[in-house]
Amino acid sequence: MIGNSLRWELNAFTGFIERQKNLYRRYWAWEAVWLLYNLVSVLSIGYLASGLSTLGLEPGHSNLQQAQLYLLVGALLWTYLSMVFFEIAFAITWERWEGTIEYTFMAPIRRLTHLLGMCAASLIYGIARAALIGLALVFLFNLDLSHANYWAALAISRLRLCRCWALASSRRSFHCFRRRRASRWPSRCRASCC
Amino acid sequence: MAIRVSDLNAAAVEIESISKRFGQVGRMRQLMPWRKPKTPKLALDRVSLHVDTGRITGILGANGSGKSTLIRILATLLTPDAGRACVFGYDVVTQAADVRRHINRVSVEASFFKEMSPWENMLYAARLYGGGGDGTRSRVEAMLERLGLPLDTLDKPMKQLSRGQQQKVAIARSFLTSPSLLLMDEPTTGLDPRSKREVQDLVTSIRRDRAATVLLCTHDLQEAEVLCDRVVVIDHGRVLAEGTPADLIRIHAGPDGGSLEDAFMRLTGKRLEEDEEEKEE
Repeated sequence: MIGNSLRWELNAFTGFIERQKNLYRRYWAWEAVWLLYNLVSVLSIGYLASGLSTLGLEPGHSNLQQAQLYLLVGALLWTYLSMVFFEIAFAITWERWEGTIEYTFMAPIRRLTHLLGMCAASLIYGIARAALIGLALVFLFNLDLSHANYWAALAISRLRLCRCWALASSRRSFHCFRRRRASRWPSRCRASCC
Repeated sequence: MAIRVSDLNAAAVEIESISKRFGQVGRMRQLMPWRKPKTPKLALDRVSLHVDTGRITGILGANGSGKSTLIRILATLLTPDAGRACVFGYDVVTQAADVRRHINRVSVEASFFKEMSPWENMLYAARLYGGGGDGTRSRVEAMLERLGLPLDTLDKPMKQLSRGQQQKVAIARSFLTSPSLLLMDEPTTGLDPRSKREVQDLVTSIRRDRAATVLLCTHDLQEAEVLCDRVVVIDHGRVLAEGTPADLIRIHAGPDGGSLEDAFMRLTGKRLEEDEEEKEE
């Protein structure tokens, strides 16, 4: 019984990832625009870091390179987190905009499955986008990644995601609350749990 | 996961004196005194209803009569302020998850991701209802073919499809999940006569093949007369009459006989078209 239920939820979980993949593919032009926007944001910080030499640091100096790397990694992480945050936080908004919210909420699945599915999709997409931007940075700034600890980077990105998830979920819950404000509060509590 | 109605002893729908009011001053509204207060509207007023399994029951009513609110409550999207509603014996408030496994809904507005294709939308729906494996594509194709939708539209974005085609996809999507109770909220609104006939034929045949229960909200009195085993006339949130179309005509259409439209007119004191005109004004 539990196995069936879990399989059912897992199927829906896959459905959300699949749906997001299809949406990213269909909105590819917009996705390209946002990718470019993020790339330009990170690059601008990188080039600003290059300009630190005007403050007295010599180009090629190890401190300057460290500062530049520090800022680039920070900007990349920020880009990744903001993208994930928006993907999760606007999950409800987008469904309302498309007019599919009632259909999704009427489906025999748990709200948690919906949230986790959206989180997983945004996590995968966020990492893919951050990897693309990271690749561009490696070529444009001649970064040496021979000593990079990729596993630690992945772990940090996931840990950061937990905080991001909590924040985004609260925003998402607010949208749910607004959507169902006509309903009574105790029922709403029950609905959000099942 | 969908169950066969023959396995169930309970009535498909059992509604006991449910009421629903919109625009009440809630806690959030009390915190925002600068917002203009809304006039509360009683959408459903102590409505009681019994729908037998395996039947097509029509709900007739003008705009704002409470039809869609009733459907939304049964679809677990709204909770009633008072009363109790059960679907196959499951309470729509306390056992919403069980109710959802047995229902699907076709609304007047086809709710789709407009950039995605019919196939992608239907695959998403199948996944939500425990399907989506091998054979889903062929089932979708068969369903759409039956509804007279060209198969070359299957991979085009939904936004490129006409209103009628979108509605057909919505109906196919609801059948794909094999619901035991199908809630149809004006499914043929906006369809041309041929498409309307195709949808009506499909509703009849699907019910015959699967013995599914259909709750059909409609403005089309002729459609109700042809499709429905029972008809419930609702106005201003109250049930005015219920029975077979023949019974309603016999009792309410007048001594000289008449149509379901005559019966409706006598019961509500106005024609459906008058309400449409009032709304437009």
